Amino acid sequence: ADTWDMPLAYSASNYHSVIAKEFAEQVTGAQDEIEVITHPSGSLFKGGEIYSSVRRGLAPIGERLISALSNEDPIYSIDAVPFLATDFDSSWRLYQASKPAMEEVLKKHRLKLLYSIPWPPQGLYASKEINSVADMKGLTFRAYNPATSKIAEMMGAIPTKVEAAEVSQAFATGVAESMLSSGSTGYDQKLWEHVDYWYDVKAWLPKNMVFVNVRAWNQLSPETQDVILKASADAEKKGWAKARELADWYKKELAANGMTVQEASPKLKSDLQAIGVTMTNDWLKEAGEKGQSVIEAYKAM
Amino acid sequence: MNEILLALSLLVVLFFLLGSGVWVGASLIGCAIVGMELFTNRPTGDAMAITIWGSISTWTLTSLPLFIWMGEILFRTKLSETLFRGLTPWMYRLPGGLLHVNITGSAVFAAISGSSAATVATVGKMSIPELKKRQYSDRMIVGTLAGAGTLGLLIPPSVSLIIYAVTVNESIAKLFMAGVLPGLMLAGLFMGYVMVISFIRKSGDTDDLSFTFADKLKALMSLSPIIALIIGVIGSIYTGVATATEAAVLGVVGSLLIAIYHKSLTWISFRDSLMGAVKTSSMIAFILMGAHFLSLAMGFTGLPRHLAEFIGGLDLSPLMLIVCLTIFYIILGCFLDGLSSIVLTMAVIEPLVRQAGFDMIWFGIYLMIVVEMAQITPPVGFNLFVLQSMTGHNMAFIARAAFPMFLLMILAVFILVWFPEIATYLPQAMR
Amino acid sequence: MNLCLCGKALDWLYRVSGALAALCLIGMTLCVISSIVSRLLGLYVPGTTEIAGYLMAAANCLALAYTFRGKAHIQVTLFIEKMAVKNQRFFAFFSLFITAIVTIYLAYYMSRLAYFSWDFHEVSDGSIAFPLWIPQSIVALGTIFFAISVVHSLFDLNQFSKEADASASGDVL
Ligand code: NA
Ligand code: NA
Repeated sequence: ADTWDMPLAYSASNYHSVIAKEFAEQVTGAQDEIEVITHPSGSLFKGGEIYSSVRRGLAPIGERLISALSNEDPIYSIDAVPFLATDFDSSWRLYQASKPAMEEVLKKHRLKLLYSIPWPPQGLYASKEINSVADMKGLTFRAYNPATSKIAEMMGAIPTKVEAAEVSQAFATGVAESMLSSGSTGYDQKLWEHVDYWYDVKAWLPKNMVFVNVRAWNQLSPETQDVILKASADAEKKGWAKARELADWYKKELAANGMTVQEASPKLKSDLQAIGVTMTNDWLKEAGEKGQSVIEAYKAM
Repeated sequence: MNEILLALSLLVVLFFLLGSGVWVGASLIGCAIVGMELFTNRPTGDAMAITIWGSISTWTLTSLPLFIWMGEILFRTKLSETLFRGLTPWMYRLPGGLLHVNITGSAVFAAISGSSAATVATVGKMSIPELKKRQYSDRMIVGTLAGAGTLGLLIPPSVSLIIYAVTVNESIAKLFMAGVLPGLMLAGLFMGYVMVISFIRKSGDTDDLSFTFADKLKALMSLSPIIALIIGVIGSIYTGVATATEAAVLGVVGSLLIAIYHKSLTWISFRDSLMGAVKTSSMIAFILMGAHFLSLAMGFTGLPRHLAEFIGGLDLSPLMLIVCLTIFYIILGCFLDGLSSIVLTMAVIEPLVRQAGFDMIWFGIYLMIVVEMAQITPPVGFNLFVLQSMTGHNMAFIARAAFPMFLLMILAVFILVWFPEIATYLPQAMR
Repeated sequence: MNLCLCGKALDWLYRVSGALAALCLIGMTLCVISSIVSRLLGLYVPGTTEIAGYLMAAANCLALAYTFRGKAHIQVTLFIEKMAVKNQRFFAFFSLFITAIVTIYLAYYMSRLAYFSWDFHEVSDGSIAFPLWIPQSIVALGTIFFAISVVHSLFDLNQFSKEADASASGDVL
């Protein structure tokens, strides 16, 4: 059997990697043509290299955080438009609405989408109580791309650049006092030592996607292709269920470790929705007609 | 069976290339090409290019050339003189006398330089002639310098720690902090050894020296800019005010200010420091390119995974594993410099160590001490080379003189195994 | 005569690319300083981390040839030094020959990387969409100079080894 190396960016114990491994085992077990081997933690290609590696056929299959590819095409940032889809059901609908447009871009890059799994929703971490966006005024806010820095400005917060690896350090020293991030960040980096509040605002649900190189795909027999499609569908189903389960689990863990975990107040919610409308319009400007039809399809669902 | 064949053939290729004098970076790339061409069906060259690009353009590595530059600037100031004159009044009364200047001077320079050989060269420049004049035994002068010079790797900033941090994806800041106490401990062991030996076999003569308290204060004052710089750099990392890269920039600016203060900042010395930094950094980059590509090739062949599974299956106790690794690194360190042995082995060792459940910060510090030993073991030991050209003694003499320090470092490894908190306390306290 | 002139021109090339590398290092330092200052002022300047990384890559690669001709790259000469003079000469040639092949291979594929990044319109995935082919071409250029310097050394092997003996292996690290 031919070996299909599958580079993954996240650690072996992360649920995305666990599901990818189960996917690989299911595919490998069900046919004799290829053996899929996962390489978690960026041990083969690092996160930032995976997309272009698969594109160039250096690895036949790989996984990447979709919104990290925003610079490639605006469609890749649709699941990171704040307050557009703020729960699992609407996130699923947004995924379905944006899938054809995404597949088109992937096809242009000689790639084929297999499945996509969300991360738990992004909540608001803050060092003090936040009841409305006005309370954010003057707080330093972690920004890591133009979109997050725009959000900070619209909230009246001060955007401050903090790399992912330095989040805990930044909060410990007050370099950052607030940010939008998933509950898993807080759990992994033990942020309860430095931040007291977490608001479940569900700003957006970023997703990972798994894709194959089209040339490698076309070399497979139709039977093997069917096996992979079947395994992909299974992985996607498992992944969405797991993400839902974990979202609650992370919330419980943050609370258990002494953070105040709350739903956003109605005022905060409506303030944030207003920011979301502006951000969606900004995104539409960038994404053009194609983006317009995706949003319309989403709204119609 | 296939795996053993693969591992053996790659080892043969690698050691043949290294041994025949092919540059380390090129040997690693060559070995990786052979491995990928023979044992995988992936496009070798393109995979190499993308991995190399990723590894040399990563933002986390930017502190490396900066810390090297900082050391290069200070190397060209009157630092060696300042260190010697500033430390002598504080050390001359201790049993063993001015030999302690070698050790403490190295510890201080280690805290501004990422390299071990630079530490030996800077401290030795002043102390070797002065100590010889005072009839200290050559053996002790050379031994303490060789040994204490290795502190450059352990006490932050450290080039090797940055490389390790980036390779295993751990925080540079935390690793730097983890190196502080073990570095001081090692310096303490060296000083203790000098005191003990001086009771048995007194050498050197400091009877003519006497310093008043005012002299001591004046000496301390002369050291204060350098101490301020150290506190600024390490302190800003510890308190989290600055990232490692930002602290390195602080260090560059601070050392330029010190050079101005010493009136040693000329266009020539500035240019030389810059070109020296670029050269060292580029030298390291070439080795890193090779190492990352080799690590990718290994990943495709599946060798590290299988080896980790195999060793995991042996059910070695953690202590036994550490003993085996220590022996392995000592042997490797005889022939390779510390940096090369780190980058060369991490692809295989990292999964192994993770599987065994070691704390990666602790393991980094352990690794530093073990590869530090490589600096003073013959036939290839960079501190030995430096001392050879500085003193004119032959390699055998220098290696013998450094041997007690080698034993003390092994002792340090065992202390670190029994009291892992020595390494893990500070990084845990900082969050 | 012509060969000598050519050698001089090449040596000049290595020095120039070394100087460019030094400028990149200074640029990188300024980049980090500007990111610190902007943070203190509460401003958000996108892209400084990416650009600092690219400048570092450019500095390291542009300096490869300069470093090589300056004998600062590491090699293990232990076994060769123990050999008879005739064998030493052979291995001096052999090691340069292998290194030449490897560096040509490296230069070819680094150039290909830059070419495909240009062809694919690939951009950085950070806070700015920086076209990757720009820094990658500089890196490729550095590796091309490097390959040239190794081949150059292979052609004037005698001169190169003589200089190697003069500069004892006391380099930093
Ligand atoms: Na150091
Ligand atoms: Na050695």
